[in-house]
Amino acid sequence: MAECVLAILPMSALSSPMQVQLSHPARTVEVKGPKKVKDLLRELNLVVEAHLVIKGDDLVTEDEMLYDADQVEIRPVISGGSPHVPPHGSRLTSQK
Amino acid sequence: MNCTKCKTKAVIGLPRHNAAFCKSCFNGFVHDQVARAIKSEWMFGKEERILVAVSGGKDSLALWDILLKLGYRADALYVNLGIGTYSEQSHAKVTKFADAVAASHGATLHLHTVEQEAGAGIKELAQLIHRPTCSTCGTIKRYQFNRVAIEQHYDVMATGHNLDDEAARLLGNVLHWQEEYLDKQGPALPASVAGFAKKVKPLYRLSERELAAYAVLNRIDYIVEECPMAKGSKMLQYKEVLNRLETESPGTKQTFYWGFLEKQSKKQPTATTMAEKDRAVLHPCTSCSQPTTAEVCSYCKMMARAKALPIS
Repeated sequence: MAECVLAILPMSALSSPMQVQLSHPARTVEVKGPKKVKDLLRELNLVVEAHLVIKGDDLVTEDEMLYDADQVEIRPVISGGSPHVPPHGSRLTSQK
Repeated sequence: MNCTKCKTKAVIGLPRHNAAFCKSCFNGFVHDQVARAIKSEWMFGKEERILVAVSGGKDSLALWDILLKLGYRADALYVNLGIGTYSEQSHAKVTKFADAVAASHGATLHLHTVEQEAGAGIKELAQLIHRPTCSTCGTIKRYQFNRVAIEQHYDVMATGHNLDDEAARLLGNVLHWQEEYLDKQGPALPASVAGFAKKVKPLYRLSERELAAYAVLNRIDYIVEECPMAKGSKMLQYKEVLNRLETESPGTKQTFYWGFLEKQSKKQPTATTMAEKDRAVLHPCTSCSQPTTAEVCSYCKMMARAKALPIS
């Protein structure tokens, strides 16, 4: 009986969910695949313009399909905390 | 998604250019954007010596990498701010890049350690003199980068400010109507008075996401963590707002900043005016000789206060 149940389940239902590594703060979340990159970002409420998605060691585009077996990192790209108000007389008003 | 140029599998889509690129064509795109910035703003030539301000982050390390690959004579300066493990990690990233990549191009890494001179890290120093940490950091970095550029006879100092940095700063200045700062928001500031190095921003045509992608694709090991002192900063808030607009309407950031630059260039001969203004208000600091509007520059005042007070 068990064999019959397994036979009709899709393969994705048998594997563990996709491990997605996030930053700021560093954490890992599980997301069920298959899922397109743009849908993964939307599901996590992350803005495309502020993130890169890395599958294994490779950068992937928004239309790429991600599966449960994939190791995925979503890396934020925003940096910098300099004041926009420069001190009087300064030449550079912010620093990298 | 396939590469717009060579039709192989793309690794990044660029909605603002209605394009997608494979690694090789993307590197070509990035190098071309930097070359166009350098040429159009008369930043520097192949014979000039450039000092790159590096922090261990993606932008400054990408800038150093790109300049070296384009054949420029680019050395770098790293200022260790003494922010605990964050500074230790960023210092290690810079050293690793200098050894693994820059050294093979004959480039040198200079180092300045805040703790050695001030007796404390940036956080303690800011507390001691009752100033915001980011403001203290800005004063120290500006001073040290300019000092090294002048003392070591570099022709120009280059920073890793990108399109997002400049658009966010412009938004902040416009929101608060700080018109007096707009003149100095261009990608190239001349060496207007003796003691000031020329300063340029060769990455102003590239977005933060594009530079992060360049670093990932070219295996540049940079510090991903945010500076712990920057949390909640206004700049980060402006960037988040602009990125939401950019996602809905690609090209918003470049239209905003590049449009501003175009209007500024038509308004007046900025470089001449800026130099005239600087010459009228700046004179050498009585303590260190760097240009300042006051008798003693803000860096010397800060250091004098720090040295006069005991560090707990």
